[in-house]
Amino acid sequence: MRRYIIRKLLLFIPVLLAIATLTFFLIRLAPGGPFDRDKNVPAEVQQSLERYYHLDEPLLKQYFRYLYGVVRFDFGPSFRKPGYTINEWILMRLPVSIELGVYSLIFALLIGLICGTVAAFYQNTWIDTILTSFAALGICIPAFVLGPILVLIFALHWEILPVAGWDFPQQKILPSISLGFMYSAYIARIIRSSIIEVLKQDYIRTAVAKGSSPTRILFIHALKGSLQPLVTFLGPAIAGLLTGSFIVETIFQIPGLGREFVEATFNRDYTMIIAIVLLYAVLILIFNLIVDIIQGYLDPRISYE
Amino acid sequence: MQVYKHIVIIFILLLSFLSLVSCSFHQTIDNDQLYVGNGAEVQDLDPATVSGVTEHRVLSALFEGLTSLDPKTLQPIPAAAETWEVSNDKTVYTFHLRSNAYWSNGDPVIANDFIYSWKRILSPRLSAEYAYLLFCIKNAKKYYEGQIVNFDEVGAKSLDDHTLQVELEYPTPYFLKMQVHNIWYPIHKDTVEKYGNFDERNNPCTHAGRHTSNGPYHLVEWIPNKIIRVEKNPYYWDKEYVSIPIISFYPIDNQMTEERLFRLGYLDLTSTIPLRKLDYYRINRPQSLLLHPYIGVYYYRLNVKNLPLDNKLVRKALAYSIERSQITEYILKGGERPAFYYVPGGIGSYRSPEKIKYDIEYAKGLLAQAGYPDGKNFPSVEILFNSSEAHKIIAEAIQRMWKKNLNIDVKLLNQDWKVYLSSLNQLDYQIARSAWIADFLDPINFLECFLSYSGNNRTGWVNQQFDNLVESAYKEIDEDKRNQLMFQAEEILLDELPIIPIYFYTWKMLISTRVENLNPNVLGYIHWKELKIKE
Repeated sequence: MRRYIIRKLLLFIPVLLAIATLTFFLIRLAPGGPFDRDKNVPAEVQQSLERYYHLDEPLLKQYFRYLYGVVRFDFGPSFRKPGYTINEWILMRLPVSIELGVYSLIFALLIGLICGTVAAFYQNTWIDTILTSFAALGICIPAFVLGPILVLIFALHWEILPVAGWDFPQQKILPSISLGFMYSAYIARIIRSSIIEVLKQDYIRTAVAKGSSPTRILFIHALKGSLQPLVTFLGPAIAGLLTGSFIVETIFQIPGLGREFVEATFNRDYTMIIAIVLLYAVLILIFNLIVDIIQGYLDPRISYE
Repeated sequence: MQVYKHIVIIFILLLSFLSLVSCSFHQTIDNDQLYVGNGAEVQDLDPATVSGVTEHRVLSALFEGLTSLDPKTLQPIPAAAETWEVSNDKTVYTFHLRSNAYWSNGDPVIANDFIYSWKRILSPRLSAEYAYLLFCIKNAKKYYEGQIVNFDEVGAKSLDDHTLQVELEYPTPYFLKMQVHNIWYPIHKDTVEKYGNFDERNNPCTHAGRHTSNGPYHLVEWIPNKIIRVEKNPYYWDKEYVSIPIISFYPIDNQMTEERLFRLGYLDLTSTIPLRKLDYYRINRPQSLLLHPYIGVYYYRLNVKNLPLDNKLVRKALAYSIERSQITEYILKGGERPAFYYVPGGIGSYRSPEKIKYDIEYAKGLLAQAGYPDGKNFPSVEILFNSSEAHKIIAEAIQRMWKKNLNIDVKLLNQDWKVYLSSLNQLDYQIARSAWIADFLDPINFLECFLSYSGNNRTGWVNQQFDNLVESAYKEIDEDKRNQLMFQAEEILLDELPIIPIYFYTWKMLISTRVENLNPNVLGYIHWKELKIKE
């Protein structure tokens, strides 16, 4: 087990190096630079800007200079936001994105588990039909549609929740739902089909025969047995929730990292782009590793050799 | 049934949690506080290195230049300088600074604070994007380019702590009006040098708790992408006059979110208004809608190096066959004015030549003269615009007008902002959507864009006579003669048409009825210290 983890962690290094290299050269290929503006900057100013950020050096030299910085966890200054370093910027913004991701995950799990379990229990009844269509709907509606609809109903029409912001608990409800809704739909579908499978197992029949209550059978016996496909899904899903919050952050005015990433891409803020890409890559790698480990605990048949 | 019971309980708990916590964007609306939607997040709060409108809005509350503008008349009024004298040849300005002007930490504002700031901006290492606005100071350009090493040779001198003399390269009639631009603001030397080198771009001296400013407000909170809060500067010389104690700027780049917050009363001013909400406000809440002429022009740039646009007759035919009023009345609907000339009205005594007309027959004749009767054999032409809903609708309208009026086919191409800029710079386009918003209140700022050597030209158009006229206007002292020179230059531009003016912008904003004394002007300039909140 330990050897497996160490081997995996060592594999991270070439993967991250490849990602850093690819990102570095790809963004340089994109037309337009960080200092191209609507109002043209005079040539002499443009030159001194490029000199300041070492953009006048040969590309390879810039690449190695950058890698040397990354190894020391120094991502340099932001091209667009000179007042802060990239590290300060990410430290300020990442916690917000994580917080939003965690709330959305809680929402997705809560709704997904309940809906999936109930749908499985009432398989092929009208309850099942309603819940399955609800799940299908959830997968189809993107956050940029759901978010404004929720705002329209809860904030503008009923005025019980705020339109935007990220200071008080009540401001965090609508964004978490908007971001988590799609995942809750996926979870409901996974759990439903998995529980239907488990309910046919012998040990459930034994539990019924012994007189366990339906709630107990469903939430204790069946649910536990059907969690494994969910764990497989949750790895990438958590990474997705943490990194895919750009639209929700924009709609609800949340100072998170997702918004910064897209802004940086539009602005060609080279250092910021690579730093966030690397951070996201690390998050995805780590969550996949955690999923691998948990799966081993849930299913002893999986071997790490 | 037991399953049902559990689920009902969970849902009741969820719903009660939802209803318990209903509240607002900020907890309460404070009568002492102004809430402002400010568009995108600011790049920084260093007046030397920033260049956008969003930054200027905040900086103009924090800092004060030598002079300011009367929001009603847009004439220079005393600010950090109490009085000033101008030499007869209009090249030497002597400013007498207020003896009671202080920084937000209590230090006096002295002449050297201005000189220090300008020296910093003129240091190439700082790479201030607007450094060139300072090139009107004698020898400033030479210093920037390294031809002069000693800053004492640059025309800015401190005669004593409260007397500042500025010698200019040439008479610059807009010199005083330019002082509201953040590039001219002073900076607090000790603060800059405490947190970094004086010519360091990435100087963290702008964070809250460190920031030192000389304007009516000082910075108390800056959480990027969340809030910038400024409070009345207790050391400001005119503090009795400042009415609103606290201003909160919210960086809200989503226009729809901004409008929703305004609708519920959480914002007093917005940065703009979404196009599709204009009708709602016009009908239901006209008192909240601010529409005012603005010194910006929306135009199409033509690449004159490209067939068939190298032909002046073709350019003219295109310009004369656009029904601009259709665009302003049915698409934009925000009070924009059709542009039949290039320099927007409302800038001092200057009046533009109204050369362009909407005349289909004349345009058809020109096209035939150019060798394309009834649009026959007209080469394929493409309109380039940066991805945006409004630009697309306008381009489609113009595409239809040219098809209907001239029988020519035009394609549309949209590109991401930076790709679009790169296409413009490399002249890799045929027709491109463009705009110019003035940096300062003078027609020359519009005309100088099309000097053959200007980086803003981006059309390939070169006209020696135009260059000569604009250059003479730089040096002319007499207002009438100068206006005449600029008029002639604009006539050439409108005759040659490397650009097709389409409409003049309006300043569009939502404003709460509790805000008083805003005095809208063509610069979109808000004089924060004059604003009042109705009790």
